[in-house]
Amino acid sequence: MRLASAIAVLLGLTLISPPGHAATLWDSFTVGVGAQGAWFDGADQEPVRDFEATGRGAFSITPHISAVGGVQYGFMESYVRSSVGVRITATDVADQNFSVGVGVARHFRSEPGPMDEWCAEAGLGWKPLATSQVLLTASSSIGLDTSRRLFTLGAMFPLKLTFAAQ
Amino acid sequence: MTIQDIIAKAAPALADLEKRLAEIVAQYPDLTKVLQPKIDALRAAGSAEGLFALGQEVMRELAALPSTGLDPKRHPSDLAG
Repeated sequence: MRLASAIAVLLGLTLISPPGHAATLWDSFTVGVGAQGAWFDGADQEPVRDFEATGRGAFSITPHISAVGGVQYGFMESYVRSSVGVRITATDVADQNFSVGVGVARHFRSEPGPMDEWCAEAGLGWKPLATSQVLLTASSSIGLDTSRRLFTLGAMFPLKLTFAAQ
Repeated sequence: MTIQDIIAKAAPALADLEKRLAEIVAQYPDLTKVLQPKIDALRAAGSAEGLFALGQEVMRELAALPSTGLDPKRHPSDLAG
């Protein structure tokens, strides 16, 4: 709850920030869709592998801080999972081709299973080709209560938002 | 939960991600040239010095936020998860 309050305060600060700054709210949004492999494991559970369709979004607040979230559908186990949290970029924030981020997020899941709890997260994104927007991504999430782990590896296609003023 | 708390809690996930990528490199040595720089970046980001400096930088950004307003950047890692 405290984290959710902190995110709300940060978003509130951005909305009441002084006018005249170049960035608009739409500049702050990044969304993407893709597919990834997901590997769940934990001390008390059988390892689970799945193939997921994924959609994620991020709202960049400062050069290092973003509010992030996403929804994934696992094709083999037929689950929907989602997460919302905060991500702090730990590498050069000016590099739009590669970054590493850390953070915490609340993970949810449609059915009983791993990762329905607060998790520590680390993510990596890499744009390997100058001629393509496709990103290769990898992430690790560790349950703060259960120490269950989730590793994802996949590809994302960032979508261009066109809601900004012309 | 403070920024320092978030960074401290996330450090094991950073180490786990580094370990997972190292396992891929061990299994597929042909990917070493591609993945090793990423593993090195994860290791540098996860060092105690790196995490401490990150915390300081983020606190400075937060302190300046009311006067600077939004200063968004696009981070590929925000779409990982």
